Amino acid sequence: MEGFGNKLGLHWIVDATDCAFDALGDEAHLENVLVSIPDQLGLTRVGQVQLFQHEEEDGDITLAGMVLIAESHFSIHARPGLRTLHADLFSCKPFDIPAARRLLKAAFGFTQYEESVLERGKIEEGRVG
Amino acid sequence: MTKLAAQYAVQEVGRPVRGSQQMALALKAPSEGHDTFEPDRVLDGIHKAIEEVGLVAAGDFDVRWEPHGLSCGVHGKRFRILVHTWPEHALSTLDVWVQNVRIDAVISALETALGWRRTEQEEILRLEGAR
Repeated sequence: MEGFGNKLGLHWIVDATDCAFDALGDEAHLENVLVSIPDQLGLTRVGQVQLFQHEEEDGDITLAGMVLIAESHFSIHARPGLRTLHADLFSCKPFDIPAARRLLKAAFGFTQYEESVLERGKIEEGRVG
Repeated sequence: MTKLAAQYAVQEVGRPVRGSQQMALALKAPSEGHDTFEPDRVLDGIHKAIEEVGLVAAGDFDVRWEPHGLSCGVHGKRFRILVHTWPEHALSTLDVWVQNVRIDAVISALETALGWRRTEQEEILRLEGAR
């Protein structure tokens, strides 16, 4: 495991409400974002992007995508009809949050958003498996 | 649908609300519970918990680390659950994002099924109050 001080990792959470409809509803674009943002932040992807589409009762769709990065993850739920994006990036390796924000904003064209940053999982000194 | 599902599960209220909830937890295995990190047991526990609260998984995936540890995800239309385990620290992280679902019921079912207890918890109301 790659440590993060005495924490397991850093978790960045973003909810954006005025995303570009076309960007949110484009599976290929979503997949590209799930690949390119971790890569540009220097994070190590493991496995393939998982991408799924769900139809809502009102005919709208939700696109869900996830990719695992080294012992962490990057995940997105996109609601094109609501122009809304819910994204999480959790990493055991420190990463540049302003850069991540710039990349995500450029990918989906939003200006209105809420975000949170959490430090996750305190490791006890001397604890061994 | 189980009794717990009937009590807590998906509460659709017309058009889906924009707000959603997320819980980010760290959990610890009981001192005698290192076998609870066994990957197949974790995956079975997640699916059992999902079924218990009446959610329907659309897909899942996992990566098993060497020499130990697991990362896995399960998702559906209005939820995603991601788990990472660090058996060497007897720790795991659990991320649950839900929309229109009682998150406390999901977390309780996961804790029961996985046999872990929470040591840290952050609850985030996402886009609460958005139009």
